[in-house]
Amino acid sequence: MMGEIIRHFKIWLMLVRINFMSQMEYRVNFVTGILMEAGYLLAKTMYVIVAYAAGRKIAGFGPNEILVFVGSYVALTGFYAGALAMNLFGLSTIVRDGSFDMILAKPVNSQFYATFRRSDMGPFLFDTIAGIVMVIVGLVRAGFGFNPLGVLGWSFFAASGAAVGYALWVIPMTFVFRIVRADAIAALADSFWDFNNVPMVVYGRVGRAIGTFAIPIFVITNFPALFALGKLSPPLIAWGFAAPFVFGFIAARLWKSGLRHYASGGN
Amino acid sequence: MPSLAPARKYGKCLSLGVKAGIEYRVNILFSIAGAISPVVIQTALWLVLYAGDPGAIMFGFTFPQMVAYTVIAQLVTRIVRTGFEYDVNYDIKSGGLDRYLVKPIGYFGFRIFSFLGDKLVQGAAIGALLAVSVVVMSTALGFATTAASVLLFVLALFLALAMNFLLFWCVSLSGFWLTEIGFLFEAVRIVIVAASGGILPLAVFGPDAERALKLMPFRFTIQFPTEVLSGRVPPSEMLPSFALCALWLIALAALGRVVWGRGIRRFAAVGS
Repeated sequence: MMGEIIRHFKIWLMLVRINFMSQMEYRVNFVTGILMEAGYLLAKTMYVIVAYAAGRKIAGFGPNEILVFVGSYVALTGFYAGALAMNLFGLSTIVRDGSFDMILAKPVNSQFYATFRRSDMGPFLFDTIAGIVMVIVGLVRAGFGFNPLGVLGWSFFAASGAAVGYALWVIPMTFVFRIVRADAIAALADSFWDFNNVPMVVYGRVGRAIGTFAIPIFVITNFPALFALGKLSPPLIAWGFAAPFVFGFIAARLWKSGLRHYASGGN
Repeated sequence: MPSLAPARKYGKCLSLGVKAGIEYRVNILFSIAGAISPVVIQTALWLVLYAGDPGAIMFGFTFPQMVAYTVIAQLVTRIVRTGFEYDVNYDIKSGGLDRYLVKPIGYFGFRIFSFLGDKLVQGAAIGALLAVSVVVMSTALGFATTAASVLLFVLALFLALAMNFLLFWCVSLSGFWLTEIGFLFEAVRIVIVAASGGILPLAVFGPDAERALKLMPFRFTIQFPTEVLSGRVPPSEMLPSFALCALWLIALAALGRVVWGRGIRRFAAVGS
């Protein structure tokens, strides 16, 4: 099992290298891609501006703590925009035109290859670095000193959140094998990402429960921030460990069951 | 060959735009669905910020005014959103623009009337939703508007469409100089939406930045029509605002004409 994970990680690194080389052929596109992410970063930081300008706490969190939440959200957006989004948005096309056949013919896991074959290092690096800087600035300004456990915990919950985010976007996309044209599902799933732009505490008890356990969107970027701020309760810490396995398993099962409906219709 | 009367030619372009709008009607649904998450997120945020002090005024808005702004601005953003810049870029890049140069029709006219035709369909659908939202907000939040505000809103919305078209027309012409600009359009769009008050009201940026942004053309695409409908534009500011908007329209149209003139000289129709 571990050997398979390491093998697929090595393949992913090779794919990243190939994608990066191909992007370097079109450097203006690479630069404008980073400019686009900078624009989106501006939009995200507007919520931080509100927190600072309003001069009052948001559900018990001060502006510096809000910066930690938004920073975590920006950092994880790097993973979503750089490693995931283009694969999920492109899945519908390759299923429709039949080029998904080539993925099935490769000696790697089809779910892995279909969802990780393309990457864009521009937004990945830009957002991840910008997000981490925001988290550090927020923590320092809020009076938190350097804490190795905090760094490890934030990194662990960020990785756990990335895994949950991956599973949550793969699950709806498995319908692509049944309905073929699933661009709308991808767009709808994409719009859910923004719910992490503000701390989950603003959504009320029912919203928080749904977003934590049923559709665990808040596990993705709220958990790392809550842990860094020392406000992640033990049951939620346990859920942060379990959620990637639960939803990763569901995503893998749904992928396998969806594959049976793939008709290779475009060929 | 006698040339077609302009009204007939561009009337055809308008009807082509209407047909395209009807053909891709599912897009309208997705566009509306895309407005749901920002409205939910921001309403939840404002609920928490105004909690405990419902009469508070934040950034110049009471709670009902802020929620009304959020809903109206999100719907206006969807109405004025462009997409033709990708077609212009494709026409330049693929050389397909040369087809339009030999036709008895102006490319600018073709694009703007097609855009307006498309927006007639979207505007009708989203406008109906906006009307329902206004009724719901009147009942739930005490939001009030007048017939005069609605009429001025329609005028401001029409000017917002023209303004956004001209802004993106100027940006799209960069295709004469750059070959890979897909991401650039999105970068420009998000900055324009933020500077237009499409994400949050401009007052959030602070008084100095707000004053500067109010002199720019961007706010006329989202914040101005939204505030006209909400009755937040004082009568004394109405005429100067419309006049400034008209001045920007003329300036952008002139800029577009100059850039088109220079760009078309570089156009080599490669690929056609």
